[in-house]
Amino acid sequence: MNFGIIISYIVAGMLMISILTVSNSMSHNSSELTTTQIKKLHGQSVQEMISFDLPKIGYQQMTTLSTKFATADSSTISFYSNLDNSDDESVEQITWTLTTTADTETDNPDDFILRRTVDGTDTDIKMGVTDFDIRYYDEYGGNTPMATPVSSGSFDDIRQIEITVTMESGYSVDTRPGVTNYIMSTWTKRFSPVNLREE
Amino acid sequence: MSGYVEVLYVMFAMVLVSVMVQNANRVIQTNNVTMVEGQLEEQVVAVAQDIIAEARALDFDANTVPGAGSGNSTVPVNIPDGFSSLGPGSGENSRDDFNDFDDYDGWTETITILGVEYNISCEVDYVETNDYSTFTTLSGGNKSTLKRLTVTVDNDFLKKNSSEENKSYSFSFIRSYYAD
Repeated sequence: MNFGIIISYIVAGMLMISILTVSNSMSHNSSELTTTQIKKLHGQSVQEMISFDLPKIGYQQMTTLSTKFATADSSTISFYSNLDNSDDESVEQITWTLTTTADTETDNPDDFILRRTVDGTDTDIKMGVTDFDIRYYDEYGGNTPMATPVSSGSFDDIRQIEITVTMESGYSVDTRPGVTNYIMSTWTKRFSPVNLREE
Repeated sequence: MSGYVEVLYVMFAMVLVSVMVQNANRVIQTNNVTMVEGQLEEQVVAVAQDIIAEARALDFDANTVPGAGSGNSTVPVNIPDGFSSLGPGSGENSRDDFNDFDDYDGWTETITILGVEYNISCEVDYVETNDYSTFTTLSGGNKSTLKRLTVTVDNDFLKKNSSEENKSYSFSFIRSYYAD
């Protein structure tokens, strides 16, 4: 075997390694992109539900409820509203909480069940929520959140509610064997419900 | 020479593979930019909505803010001429001092959310009340019962195509005195 053929085999081997590496990177990147899109859709669903509920805190037809909150904690918020705008003016109690129950249907050990409860009827949201953080502000545009849990005597001081939802994929998009890489998506929004205005 | 023909073939193959790898890297980079931009744009929308919702929760005008302690709304004698000029009043230097919708006029701030900075700037105008297609801005100190808040948000990671210039995202909200 002459020298040229030996060199050719070595270079061909390097090319094969390059092609395999690129193929692997493309495959990984593609699955990462797809997972990100899926997570984004999950995030939008949760955002829509939260954005439907929170601005209606304290709502009642033609007036504002005198008792607006039941609980105001860092991972649980419970409030009153005529959520369905019913003519009989019945008031619903809505609760959002991040439970300590892990979502066992996924491989991710850090995701928990986010629960929305309306008058005792639970809706479990299993979309990979790993963090659900709620902050309360007693002035519009304020930088310092109120201490949690907010005492019932301070419920009327709440003006804004800021929510951060962090979600992760249920499976790991591995870069290397043994290294877990969950795709994360975070959304923060500060709500200014009109019924919390100073009267 | 026969042994070196293979070397030439391999070198040609290397060039082909290099081009392929370069294209693949470009695709990966584009995908990564798309992922990051998607996340950031979602937050840009949320930030703009926060500001608009916050401004909506305040009174329509400095002259309709309830009197201190009384809790009663005040109404100017002449509407809309009795409304205030746009911009924050004296002593209203930051968002937590604002007490009416047009205090956000000219307000700028950089806020940090999860380590990412968002530059916010706001503009409030009185707009024409009988021009529902374009809502022309009133000038020369003219007033109306409609105010438009425009929130512009940009971010150092969101650039215009092939440019180092930040991409600006503008969101407008028109508020009516009578539909408050």
